[in-house]
Amino acid sequence: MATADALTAGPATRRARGLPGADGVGAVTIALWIACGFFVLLPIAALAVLAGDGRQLGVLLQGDVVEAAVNSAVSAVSSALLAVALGTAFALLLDRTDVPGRRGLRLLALSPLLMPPFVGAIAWLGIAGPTSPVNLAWREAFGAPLWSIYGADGVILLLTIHSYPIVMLVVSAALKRIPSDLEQAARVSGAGPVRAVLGVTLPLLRPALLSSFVLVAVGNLADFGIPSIIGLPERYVTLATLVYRYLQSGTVDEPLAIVATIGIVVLVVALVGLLIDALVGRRGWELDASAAAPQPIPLHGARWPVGAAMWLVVLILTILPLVALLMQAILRAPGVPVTWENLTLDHLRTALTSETALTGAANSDMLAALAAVVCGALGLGIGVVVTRARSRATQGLAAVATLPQAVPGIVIAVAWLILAPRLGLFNTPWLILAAYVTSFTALVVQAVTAPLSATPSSAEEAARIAGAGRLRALVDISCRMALPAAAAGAVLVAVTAVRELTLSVLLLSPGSQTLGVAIFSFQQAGAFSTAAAWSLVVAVFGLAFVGLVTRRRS
Amino acid sequence: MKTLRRTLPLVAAGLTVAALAGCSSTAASPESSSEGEPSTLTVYTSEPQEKIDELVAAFGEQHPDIEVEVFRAGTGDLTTRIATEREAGEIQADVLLAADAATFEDYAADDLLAEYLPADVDALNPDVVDPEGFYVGTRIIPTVIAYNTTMIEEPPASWQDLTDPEYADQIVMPNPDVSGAAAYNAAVWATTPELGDAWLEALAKNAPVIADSNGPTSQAVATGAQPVGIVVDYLVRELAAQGSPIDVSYPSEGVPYVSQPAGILADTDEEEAAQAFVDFLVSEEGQQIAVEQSYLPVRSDVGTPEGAPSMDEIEILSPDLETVQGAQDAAVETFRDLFL
Amino acid sequence: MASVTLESVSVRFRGGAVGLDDVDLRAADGEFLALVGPSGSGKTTLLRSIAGFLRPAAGRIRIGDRVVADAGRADPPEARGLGMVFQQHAVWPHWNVGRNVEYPLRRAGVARAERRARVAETLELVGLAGAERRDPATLSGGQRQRIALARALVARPQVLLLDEALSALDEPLRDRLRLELHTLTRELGLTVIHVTHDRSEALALADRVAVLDAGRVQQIGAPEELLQAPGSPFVARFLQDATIVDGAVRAGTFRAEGHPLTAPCGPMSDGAARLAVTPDAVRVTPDAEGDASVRSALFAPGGSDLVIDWAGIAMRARSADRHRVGDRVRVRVEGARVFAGAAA
Repeated sequence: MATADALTAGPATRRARGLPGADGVGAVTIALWIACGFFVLLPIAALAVLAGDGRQLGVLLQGDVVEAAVNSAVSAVSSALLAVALGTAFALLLDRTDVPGRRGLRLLALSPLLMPPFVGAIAWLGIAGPTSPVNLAWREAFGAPLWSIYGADGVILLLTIHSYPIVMLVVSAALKRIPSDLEQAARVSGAGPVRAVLGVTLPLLRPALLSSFVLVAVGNLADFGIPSIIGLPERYVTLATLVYRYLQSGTVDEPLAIVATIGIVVLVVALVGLLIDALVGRRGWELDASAAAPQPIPLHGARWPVGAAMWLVVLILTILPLVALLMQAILRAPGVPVTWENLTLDHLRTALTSETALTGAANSDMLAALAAVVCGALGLGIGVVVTRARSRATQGLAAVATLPQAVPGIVIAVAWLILAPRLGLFNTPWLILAAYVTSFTALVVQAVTAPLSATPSSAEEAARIAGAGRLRALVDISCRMALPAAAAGAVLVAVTAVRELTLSVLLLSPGSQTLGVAIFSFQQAGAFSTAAAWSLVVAVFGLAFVGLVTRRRS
Repeated sequence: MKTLRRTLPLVAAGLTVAALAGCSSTAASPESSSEGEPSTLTVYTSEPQEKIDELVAAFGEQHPDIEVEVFRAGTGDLTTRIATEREAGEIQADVLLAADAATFEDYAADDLLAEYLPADVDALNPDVVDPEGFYVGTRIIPTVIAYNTTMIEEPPASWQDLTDPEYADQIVMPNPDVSGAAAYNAAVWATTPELGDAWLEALAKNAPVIADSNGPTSQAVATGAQPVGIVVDYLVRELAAQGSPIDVSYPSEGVPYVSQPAGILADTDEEEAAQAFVDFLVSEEGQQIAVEQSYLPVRSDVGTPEGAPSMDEIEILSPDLETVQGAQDAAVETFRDLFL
Repeated sequence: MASVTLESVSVRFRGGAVGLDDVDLRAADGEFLALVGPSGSGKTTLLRSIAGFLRPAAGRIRIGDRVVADAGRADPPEARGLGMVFQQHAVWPHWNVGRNVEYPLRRAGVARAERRARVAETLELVGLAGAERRDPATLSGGQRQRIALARALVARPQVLLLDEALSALDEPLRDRLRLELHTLTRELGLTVIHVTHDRSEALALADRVAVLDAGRVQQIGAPEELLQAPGSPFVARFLQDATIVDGAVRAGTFRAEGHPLTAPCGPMSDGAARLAVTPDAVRVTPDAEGDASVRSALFAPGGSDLVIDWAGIAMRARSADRHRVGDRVRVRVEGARVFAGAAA
């Protein structure tokens, strides 16, 4: 190393900061609390106030509401159970065995995540609705349709199809954390491969199974699109569609108060579910991470049959709906047989140039982009402050910000509906934006806290020693380091917002339709081919987007 | 990490572009305008989306300075929204174009509508013009019996026929909570002496499927899901023209019809633009578009849609508007109890 | 360059645990002071108190003549003019090397041209000339630690704090970096406070070594002093793996309790006492009738490290020969220190 004469000139002047740097961080924390309070606590409080004196509890005990509640509970729980079974089976087969074509299967199997549930419903109507080619042909031959998707069974099937990918993701992540040594120890002790998985791995997966069950059940409890499109034609009403009906058609007096009461009850149920998950599921085991990649279990003779079966199931679940959408969009008229002469692109053309749908798409884009920016900034701030500037003041912040994940979408929408007139947001698109921010900030917070909590605190301390105040160190170091994660979270927010239906269908106003609502309205008004055309567009875009992102990563 | 740093500005730019694009194309500012400046007209309507889009496009060619924002929902949903907006303080709509006159009578009684008679009022069918001048009909929309031609050989010929047990589980009809036409029809059936509540109860025994509105109803008949339907006539004509196996049967007792009135809300800031729009709806051009859209027009100088009979050729159930208006709520309630 | 003075400094943690207990310490201007001690002894706590991340509950901390912390107020870390290198280097991954190193200069408001010059100069000093544009992810652990060092030095701090700065590196690298660190800081005349759990490193590098235990300074002095004249059984055991034997002093001789070991101890009052025997002071000769046996024998350059079981006491010894486990030997102790007082 060279000599250091030049460096003996004395220390650089540092502006001595008289005030402690904590003021800056304190101010930011207060600002974040105000934002959280406005977006999360205020709506829930509004809900509680309106439902408050329990006047409407009597209404809840009436037939309609009880029936809808039972239906909601049954469909949510059954679909969650089925989704967990299916998702776990897929995860185990794809991650732990040598089924052929695993990479393609994994991508395809996850694709229902990219289709908004109501688009899936529209697609499945084309496969198994009473007017689908299969059913019509069966009716010709046997006088009655093979199986009509309308009703409870269809709702449960579709909810399952749209939630098993979440289970797959959760279980896959958990599987990666289970070291293969445990299974190998079982094998060395004499257990066969299947036995080792069932006896060792599956019990260790229990926390993951439980949390994915709760996650899916709470999510499905709130879904609006599927019960509306698939359940209503057979009068299968769930709480989400009941709330929608009450608000839209004025069939009861004081719909807002009743709906607020329903909302509070649903919220309590969801919170109880999460509490159970927290108490029972969190008791995880400490597992030393193993560096070795797990050995795939060879399936020997069963390899090709199992592979073929999986491919068949996955294709039916993922590609068939797209084909059905295409058919619905290009068939000349309803009720005509499917022949070459009866296919036309005219409907497609009219649909894609429809003013309303295009405005809806533009609206969705704008709202999604704005939501992404707001959620990104808010989520970044909260994530940084909570993980890197721990204090009593910041403790509740992350919990409050992620609370809305437990709240079903209809409840959030109703809460904002109640607030809207008092805040002057009624009948504006900003109401939908507010609901988006409430619902989706949690996505960014979670994306940011994961990498940040793993970084040692010396990162900011080095900045402090180098002359940065507390707030400066947070901004320069933690925020900058978390920026990629926040951006990824923001993109996730945009993608989720652009295709959602539940919030915007209750909060829409003249002139601020979203794409989801536009498609839904087409479906409701009987413009099935238009709805199918736009559903296809949404589905294809979603797939293309994910294809792009995963290609970049690999 | 470098790639992320490079893509981050791209992502940010993309999001900003999307936001700006959305902002500019939706320009949802309901500010009122003074003379000469472009104005925004808000129309609440139950017209099917594509049809109202066509009308608005044609209107836009004649009046490029007026931007029309359309909010489309079933009539039942529209009235609820208007009620909510009333409570919240301000009704956003400038023009209401919805199914049935009874709804408009209610609003007129509450002083929510502005008086206006369009310029061409003399060329219009007098039955559809409100004598007090609060609204004017824009189409004649009878509700008929539709049937799937490949599945039904002998169609039902009267309302009474529909109560025959051979049609059990084969009928589909729209929901009066959503469809204004269906609500009106419920009232008409309830007040027609040959039909009344007894007929409704007999019909309920056949367990008809209640679709949300006329659109899904016509689709169900065309695809054969339910081969018999009670639905508005223009949808049947449209589908048949496209090739669907669906046809109309005019019931012998007569058909109720709604006139899809247009009215101007009294609170509107855009009086002139609203009047221009109503004028357009009943003008020759506007009515020609209606005919192209398979509607029966309210003027006699624009012809009729292909395949449609003229008004004189069919039996009309045309009870007193006041009677119907008074009975509508009760009739819808009965319907709800029996069918939903 | 400045001195660091701690006067009666106590640090309490939340929950009441004692971090530092009435510590008095002075590092002179330009001195290399090493802090050693077992885990939880308070050495890192002491360092972080000097840095400003912990506030003393009592006492005063001075850097040079300036009081930076006392019971009433404390200067925040950014205002103390220090340089610090952490165990996990903390080189920021989202900036390149140049921006990492220039950060303190940016905070101090130094103009860009001067910043660039000083960064280049400092990087050359640590042996990474021209690395300004490199991405830290492409550097090895040792290189990153040098970057961290450069960052600590670039603003010409008064004092350099090293918090187990070499502990995360593997042995040959540690060795090399140790030498470079020593040379560089002596050339610059920096006051250095170096926390390490590696006692041989401390003894090798430092002008003075402070041994801490349970939040108190047990002994502070030059390395030779600590080895030849340990102030307590703890220091002897910690620095040299001395074996401590309990017993009593009578008439100038130490007798071990229940054990044949005796040793002269010079003028000392009678009473309970403890004897510290360093491994070097133990002579082992193979004897089939000896009353001690070899419990473990590990190879060491120049002989072996032994643990001898002598009448119930496990004693560590060094021998120039190789031995086998189970060999019977005779033990003689040549030179040991006696400390008054019973075991605490």
